[in-house]
Amino acid sequence: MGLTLPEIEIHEPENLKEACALLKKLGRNARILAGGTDLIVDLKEKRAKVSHLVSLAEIVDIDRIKKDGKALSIGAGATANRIAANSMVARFLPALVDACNSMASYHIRNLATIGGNIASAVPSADLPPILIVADAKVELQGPRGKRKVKLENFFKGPRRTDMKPGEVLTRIIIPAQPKKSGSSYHKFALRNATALAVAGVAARVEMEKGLIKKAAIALGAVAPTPKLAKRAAAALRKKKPSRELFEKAAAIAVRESKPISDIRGSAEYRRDIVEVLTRRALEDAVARARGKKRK
Amino acid sequence: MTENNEYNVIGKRVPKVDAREKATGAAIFGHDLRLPGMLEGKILRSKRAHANFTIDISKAEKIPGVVAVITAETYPHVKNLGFLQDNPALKKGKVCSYRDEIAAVAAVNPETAEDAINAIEVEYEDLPNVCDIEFACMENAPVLHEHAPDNILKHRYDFVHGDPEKALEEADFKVTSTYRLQYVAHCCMEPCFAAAQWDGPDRLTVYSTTQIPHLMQRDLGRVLGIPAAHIRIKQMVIGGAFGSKLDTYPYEIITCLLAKKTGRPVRIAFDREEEFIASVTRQPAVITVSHGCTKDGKLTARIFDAVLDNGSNSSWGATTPHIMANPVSSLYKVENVRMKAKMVYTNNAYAGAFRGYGNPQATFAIESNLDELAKVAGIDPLELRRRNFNEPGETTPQDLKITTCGMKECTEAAVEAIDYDKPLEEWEGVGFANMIHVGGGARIYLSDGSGVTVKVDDFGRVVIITGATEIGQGTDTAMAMIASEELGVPLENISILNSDTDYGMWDAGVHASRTTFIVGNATLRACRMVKEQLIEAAAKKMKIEPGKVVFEKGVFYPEGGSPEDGMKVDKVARSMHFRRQGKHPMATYYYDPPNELQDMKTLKGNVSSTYAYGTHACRVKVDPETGKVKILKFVAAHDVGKVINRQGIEGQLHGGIAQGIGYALMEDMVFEDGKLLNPNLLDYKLVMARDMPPMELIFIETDDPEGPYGAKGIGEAGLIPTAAAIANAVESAIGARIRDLPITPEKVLAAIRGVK
Repeated sequence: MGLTLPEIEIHEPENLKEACALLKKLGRNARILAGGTDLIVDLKEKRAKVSHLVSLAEIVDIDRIKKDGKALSIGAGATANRIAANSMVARFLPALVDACNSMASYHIRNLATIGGNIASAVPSADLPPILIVADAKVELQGPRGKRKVKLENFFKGPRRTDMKPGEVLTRIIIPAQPKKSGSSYHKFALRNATALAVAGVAARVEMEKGLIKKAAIALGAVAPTPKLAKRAAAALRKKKPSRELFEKAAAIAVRESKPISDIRGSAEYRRDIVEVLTRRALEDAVARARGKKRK
Repeated sequence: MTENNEYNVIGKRVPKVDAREKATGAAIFGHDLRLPGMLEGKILRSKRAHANFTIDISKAEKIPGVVAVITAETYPHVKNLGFLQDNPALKKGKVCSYRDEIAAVAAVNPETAEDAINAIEVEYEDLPNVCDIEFACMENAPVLHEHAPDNILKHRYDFVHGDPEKALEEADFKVTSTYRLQYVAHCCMEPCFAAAQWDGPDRLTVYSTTQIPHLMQRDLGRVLGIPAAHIRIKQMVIGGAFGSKLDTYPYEIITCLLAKKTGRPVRIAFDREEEFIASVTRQPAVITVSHGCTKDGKLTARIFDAVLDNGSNSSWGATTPHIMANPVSSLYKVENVRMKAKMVYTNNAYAGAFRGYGNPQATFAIESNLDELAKVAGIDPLELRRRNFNEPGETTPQDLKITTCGMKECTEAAVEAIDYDKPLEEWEGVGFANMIHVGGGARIYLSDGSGVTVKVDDFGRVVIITGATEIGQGTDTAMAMIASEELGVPLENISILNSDTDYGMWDAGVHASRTTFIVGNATLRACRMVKEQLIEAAAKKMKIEPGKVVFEKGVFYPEGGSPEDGMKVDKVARSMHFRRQGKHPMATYYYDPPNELQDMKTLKGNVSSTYAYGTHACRVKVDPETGKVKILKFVAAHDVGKVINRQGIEGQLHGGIAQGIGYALMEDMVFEDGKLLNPNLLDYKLVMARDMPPMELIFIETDDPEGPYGAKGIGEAGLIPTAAAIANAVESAIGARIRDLPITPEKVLAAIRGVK
């Protein structure tokens, strides 16, 4: 039972170099503190045991949302509510706004950051699926420099990522979305707010002459990591969108999911939900690609 | 009686008198209390559902900052708790649930207390778990307690009226089904709290969030072995209770023992996880109900058989069949009725009182089953109810004497508001359910009374001194409104003094929706006595007969005269005692309602002096692909006797409906081998604002002759028929009956596929 926080030293480096050096030095005794909405709970409940926190609060521009050439760059420290309220994001990838608004509660979204939502690598996180179908990359700053990783390759398991000791996730880069493309995120939870996904499905389709040129489908909460349903997406290529087609793809997506049974739902029910959400996400993505308003 | 517009204050919308201090953070809750030198107490609980154990506290005692570590051995003469006295505050040698208290520490701060708890060494010798009531009742099942070798509590319920078995046999239509009700948690905003301080060996002050200050005084005296006359209970501002603080619990005794051992004040304050694991729950139940009716839809038989998971020890949950008997015997007119209930010990959590006290469980089973009967009989569910409505003047099989009864009016208003006959779209459903509950107190002890003193000071300030408890239900506001109405004093000039057994008079506690009714009546009568004193004094001053004094809006003036020439309350009050042999304007009234203690064997007797009725109706839409139920509209029509505070009663009902929807659709404490898997507010799902449907409230004012201004108690009513109404609407939408709560999307989807 966790009424109390353990004694913890908080560091507030003023730049990334300092942050990386500190993290490298402290190693396993430190965690990065951003919004803290996951981490503080884990510390109180003794699931995370560290004696140092390295806060990103003082680092200039860590929360900046800006155009980067044709891409959109979202600072890791940007909160879900800031992203949801940003007009560039709304034009660039409206489904990301939907995903942000589906997270937790308004109060939590005031604190919770996109970087935290990704780096915590919780299988049910709401932002990774839509970012994965949008071909997003994360930028990691380490003691020896920067590197970029495709988000779909970033997750290694529940709460495990590709991040190395001393690295900080600094920003998310979303490439320009193809013309005539549309994306969507559908989440199913047991309550309309403050609920983790039983399953979440993101989809992106790119249209050409009435046919689906390319598609991507990512599944959340139904595998150890957010996961691309590649065979389901492949089944859509060069096909005319129809309910039957989406149902076929959804059935394939179910076979690509690896859900577990837990307190939020049985594996069997999760497979049912993946099927429904995949079809609905595809319908919405196609509607958006055709410039139609969402239902 | 008087019309609504004859009142200045009663029936109006008034913000709660304590709203500002609660909203601004000024209110001092238990968790805010800091007494000089106070230590932090913490309890070590079992890490097994069922085991023998040995314990070594020596390492914990040596930690700097630890002032005391106690076990069952420390104070061997402390007596057991619970209405069956089967629950020792600290368990000795054997644990029967994960909530069982093994040892406790007092330390200089919470961190040290936690370290000490972790340093206590316990060795367990596992015993077979008994976490299922059917298994617990098997012949060779492991035994939890020596005093119950068959794991069944000696105390049982068997109520019968007429010949229900024969009537069922002979019925034209009949149906039998079994319903399962889950564990749910009260989820008070403020988790459990107690602080204790001894002055010398036998003078004890307890700072508490109890709902039963006077009974707690008695419990503590008996358990600790000191005269109750040496005990003072001071209640803090209480952050919700819903029945959970109706008993005296091990943690409260442990707080007193730690304070005794250390000679310093000690507090114990639960965090949310401990609150889930170690406070009481709603009573879970498996209920089998049969109904029979004639071909005209006249109900002839009802048989109700409940098996309750009693958990490891007994608190009030085990007595909930006492109140289940009200709807079983008296919801609609049924000539032949039987109710049986037995309680089974298991290694699960134990239940306490929770808003409705068994009635939501019973009403869910009865009202679901009546819809099933209607289907079998080919009668519309509404028509079936109409043919069996309760009526004023009726004496029910349990000898409940129905005075005023708004069942018909509530039902008709609710079905009209929900547009019951409107054709349904695909996957849309409509349903409703009725309720009866005590509305005029409930005599479950020798006394159902409460004493109130009202005094008026020289400045016209009115102070109401009472033993009644405010747990957020709004009764302080109701009392102030009554005094304002009677004495013509504005609300801001009225204060309520409660929360201390040293000055509050006996009150049976806040339960059974009784406080506005009982304490309201005591306040009303005490105010009227004070008013007479003031009228007499004003008459003297004006040199006229008391009968010639007019009292209006706080001003006394002679009949035929004008209020401008009159005297205000403060001036009359001063005239009474600023003189030789003066008198102070004040009066005490002890109100005990005209209801009866039921015979424990037959369960018959008029337990309440009036009964509250209500109907919930809703329209739902089901997503056939996910099974998710969306409530499109919710209507609650209640026979409230008379509205006292419109804003308060709306809040009570909105809150009740939210709890009822949670009970119906989401809330579920999931246990696995006695261990709670979701002791947090993320995975234990209370409904939130975005889950709430549009609500329409309808108040039926039946003007009860015994109620204050005609009011009935309404505190619990708001969630009693909710789950049944929703279940009936879901059945209407999907064509399949779900008999296990909560009605989760997963169950709905499975039910839809079952129909196909």
